[in-house]
Amino acid sequence: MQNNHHKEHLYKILVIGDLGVGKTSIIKRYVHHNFSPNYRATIGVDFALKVLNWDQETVRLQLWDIAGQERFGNMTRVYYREAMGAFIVFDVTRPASFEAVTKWKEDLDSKLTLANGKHVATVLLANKCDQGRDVLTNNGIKMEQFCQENGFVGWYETSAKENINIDEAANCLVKHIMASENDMLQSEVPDTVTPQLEKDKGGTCSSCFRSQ
Amino acid sequence: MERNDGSSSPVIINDTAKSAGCDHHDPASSTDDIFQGCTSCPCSHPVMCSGNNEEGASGAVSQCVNHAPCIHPSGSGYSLQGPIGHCSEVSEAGDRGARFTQSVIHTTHTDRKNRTSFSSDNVVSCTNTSAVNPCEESRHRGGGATGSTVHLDKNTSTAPTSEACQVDRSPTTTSSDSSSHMTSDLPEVSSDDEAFITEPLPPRSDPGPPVPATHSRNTFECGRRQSAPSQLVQDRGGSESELQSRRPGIVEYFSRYTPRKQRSVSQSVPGWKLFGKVPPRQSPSKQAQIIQQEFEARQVTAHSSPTHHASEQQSRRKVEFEPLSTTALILEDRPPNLPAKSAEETQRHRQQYEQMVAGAKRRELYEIFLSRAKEKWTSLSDTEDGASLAEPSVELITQDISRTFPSLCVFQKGGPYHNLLRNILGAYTCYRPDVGYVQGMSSIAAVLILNMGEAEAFISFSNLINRPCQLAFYRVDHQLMCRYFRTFQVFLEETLPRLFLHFQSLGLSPDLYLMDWILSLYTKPLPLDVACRVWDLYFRDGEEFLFRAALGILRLFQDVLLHMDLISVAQFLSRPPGEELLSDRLFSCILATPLLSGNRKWSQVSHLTNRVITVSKSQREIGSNELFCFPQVLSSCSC
Repeated sequence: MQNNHHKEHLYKILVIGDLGVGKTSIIKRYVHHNFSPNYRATIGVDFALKVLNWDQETVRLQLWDIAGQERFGNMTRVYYREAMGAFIVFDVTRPASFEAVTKWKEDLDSKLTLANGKHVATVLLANKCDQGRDVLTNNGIKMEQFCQENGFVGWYETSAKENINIDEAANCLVKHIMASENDMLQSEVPDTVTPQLEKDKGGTCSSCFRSQ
Repeated sequence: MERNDGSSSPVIINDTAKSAGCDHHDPASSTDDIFQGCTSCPCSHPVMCSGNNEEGASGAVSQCVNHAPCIHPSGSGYSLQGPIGHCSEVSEAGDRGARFTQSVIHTTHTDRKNRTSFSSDNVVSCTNTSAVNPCEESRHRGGGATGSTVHLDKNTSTAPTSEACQVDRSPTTTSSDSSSHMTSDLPEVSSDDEAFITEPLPPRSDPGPPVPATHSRNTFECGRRQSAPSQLVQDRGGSESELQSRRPGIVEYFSRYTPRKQRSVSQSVPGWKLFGKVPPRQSPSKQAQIIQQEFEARQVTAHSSPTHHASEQQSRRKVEFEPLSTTALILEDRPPNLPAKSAEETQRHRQQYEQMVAGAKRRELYEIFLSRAKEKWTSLSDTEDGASLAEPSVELITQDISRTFPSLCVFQKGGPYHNLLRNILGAYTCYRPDVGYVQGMSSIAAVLILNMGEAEAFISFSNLINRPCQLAFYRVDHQLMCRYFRTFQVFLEETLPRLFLHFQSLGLSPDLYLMDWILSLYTKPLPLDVACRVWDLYFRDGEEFLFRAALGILRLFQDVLLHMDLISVAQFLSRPPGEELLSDRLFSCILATPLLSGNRKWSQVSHLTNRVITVSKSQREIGSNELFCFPQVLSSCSC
């Protein structure tokens, strides 16, 4: 599936976060450039594809819009695999959704690791900033600190409704994904040879990760 | 005190019994017969009776049987239990009572407000009935002939039984108020049930057809006296009111009433002859157990009437909330002296009964859970933002309701069905906290709301979610879901092999689209009207149709899908286009997709896949899906 040629990249990106924080809205805004207050709840997983021109290369982003209800957590974790990056979204008007961010991050990191053993690049989105801007401006420094402590590569206050910062956040994520990809390519040789020699591990893992 | 009160209430009962019973019981030379008659009689109200009359002689009986509606006396009968408690034979009385409870259901249907009072009325009637039975205690206990209905009560609601049990412990006190009510009510009742009322009461001489009833009635009375003496005293109503104050032993009652009995017998003689020609039918022995059950149920009801003034309020409130117990009097056979019900009629009565039960259940159950849900909501609103922490489902439901069929604009806040949808989902989370609210439910409840009333929608919703397939998905039961997906894969490979291979090469496992389709019952991928059509077929064919429909959708779009990559396919399937063409073409595709794998049907394959789950071969074939089925593999991989 993934294409590692320099001309074209295909990245799977997860969009996760609590229910109703605006994951689907962000994706619709990003991909279709529109907004509706009337999106239906996501059940299971939805998909979208975004194509970017990136330094004369083509980047295709597979956006996996994952249902926010906790009940589906065990179910949707299987959708994490092979993802190269993630957005974790919370709703600035609902403190509880921010409290859940660490939960989502831990969940993500525990179930998904890049081939080089690092965590996938993750950007934190403080959505609906049009409705609760002061919450963030007052806590900007704390947010930086929070991101560092929890391994986010960055954070943005966004509004799908007002189209604020969504492209910027996506670009940030893509940048980090490409960086980590390059990182992996460089360190690929020593890393990949070893696991392939281990028969016992290969047996259980063969279908999870494509051989590199 | 209590007893006296009780006796007063019983009087009413007797009247009803008389009125109702007279017609029916005429033949009643044998006590057993009487019983039957009595049981049926009390309810006299004839909701269904009128139809039965056509049948001539049998008509009266049928009325009794149908009896559902005895309820006329609106407020009257709270105190009924008193007499029962006094009598040593209470248990029997209880049996009778159970039958009468049926009428309660009817009442509930008719008028919610009056429900409490109605129920009490019913109770009264029950006690009276029990009194009627008196002589035959031994017979009853032995499994005497009469009531078939009791077990139905249990079916209707478990709750009532328990409550009833509680009630039982508080024997017999009737409030003086209630007794007064009853007395006043009695006449009304009798007047209401013209047919039933006619002969028994001396003051009211009914010349009419019911004449034969008098005889039966006498038997009734005797029975009553034995079983519930206090009642007997009051039964006579105004004339015998003097007796109320006293509480004579059973023997005393007998002696006192004997003259009456005789008199009534003599009165009844003519009518008796009319019906007497009908050969007595033997009451089926199998009913013994039923009677027993009836008895228990009846005890419950009988006791449910408030014993003490202090507790009266509370107990009444209980009565309001408990699904009232029922006796399926309507299901009983007619007394032997009357022509038996035809199979058709029996069938009809059964249906009527089931409707009554369903109706009662519906209202009771739904109201109970709705009130709980509302309590929860109010308590949450008291604590401001505590809502999301204390009860996530509340917030969740609110969120989802706002995005349920947004294009219809009826479920959003301020829309006509907003509260309805919230009520149903809230009530359901109280009804099944183990399942709770799961996304997707709101659309299902919404479709039901669009098609039926609130209580019906709740019941249908609960039943729907209770189906094995829905339960598996809403509980996100991995193993069961996986089994469905595997089974589906088998049929997908069989019916659409090219697409199957294509999906495999893409790594597109069926959960990526099936989960959405099943959880939303196709309301998400399909336009509403098409989804409703799928529902119809689902209800007709069972869960396998859900997967057949999935295959139909895939078949419809196979050519397009074969040229798509993973994301496009997944995106496409989450909302297939072409709504105008979709319907008919879709269903012809579904039609062209029988669920057959070789000779195996869905259930057979499902059974097999369940066994095969651990067999690695099938897992390999399914490819990426194995990860889905065994998430632990994934986690082990990642380390």
